[in-house]
Amino acid sequence: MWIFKSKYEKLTREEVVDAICKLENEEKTIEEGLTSAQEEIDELMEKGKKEKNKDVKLFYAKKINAIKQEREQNVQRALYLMYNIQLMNKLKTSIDDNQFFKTSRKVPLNKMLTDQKGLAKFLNKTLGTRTRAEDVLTSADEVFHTIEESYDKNESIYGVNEQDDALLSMFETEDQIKEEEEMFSNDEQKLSEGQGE
Amino acid sequence: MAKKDSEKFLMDRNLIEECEKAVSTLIILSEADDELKSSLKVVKEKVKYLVPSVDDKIYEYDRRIKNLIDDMKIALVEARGESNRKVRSVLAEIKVAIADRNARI
Repeated sequence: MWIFKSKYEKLTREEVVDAICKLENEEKTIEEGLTSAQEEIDELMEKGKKEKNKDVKLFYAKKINAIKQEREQNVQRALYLMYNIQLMNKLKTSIDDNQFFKTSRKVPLNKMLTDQKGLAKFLNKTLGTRTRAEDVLTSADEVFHTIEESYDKNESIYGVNEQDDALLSMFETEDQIKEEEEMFSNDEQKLSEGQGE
Repeated sequence: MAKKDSEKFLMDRNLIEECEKAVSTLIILSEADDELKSSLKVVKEKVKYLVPSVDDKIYEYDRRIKNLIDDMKIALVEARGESNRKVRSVLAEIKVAIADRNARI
């Protein structure tokens, strides 16, 4: 194992935070400078417009241009600082992530998950228990089915004897007669309607 | 190599001291806002009297509190010492983290 830590491993979160605060302060200072530069430019513009002397006007114009140039440089610096701050924040997040994942790995339940063989054994055992429980139910269902199939219906109670058969025939005959009567009356009606037209 | 209890206790105690010093810095940064300043003074007292522990989980809580205090430092610098939404949000997180930590001990 390499005993010397890299510079990134030696870096502490506090150092990164301090660096961010320093950069933020610089950026804010430049921002305030930009605001006051703009105010100065506006003031000089007003003075230049009101001034009648050409030399004084030229003086104001050169001063405004010098402030604008300086402002432009400060904007560049501010943009650089903003980008630098973004990178520092990314570094801070990486340090936090590193700490987070190191801590999560130490959680006892997470440590258990590294034992993949034990996990597989446990899952297989669980599956076996489930299969056996399901088999008990399906076997019981088959027993129900077998017993029900072996049962013979009692013909004396549920079957049709001679007297029942005679009555059933009478019922069928009456139904047939009723149907024929209905058909006959329908036909007559159709005939009479046809003649009427 | 597993750390001895005395080493763990010392580490946690040092971390608590760092937290207290960091809150003192926040108080200085929040000079412009009296309400924020008084809230931070209350937080400082709570941090000052945190009981060091040899428990690794408690140490992680203390580390989280320190990280939040550092984040608040950044937020205060960005806000020029004033209490904006981000500053109030981080302050609330610090208070919750301290309460959580005390509940675990």
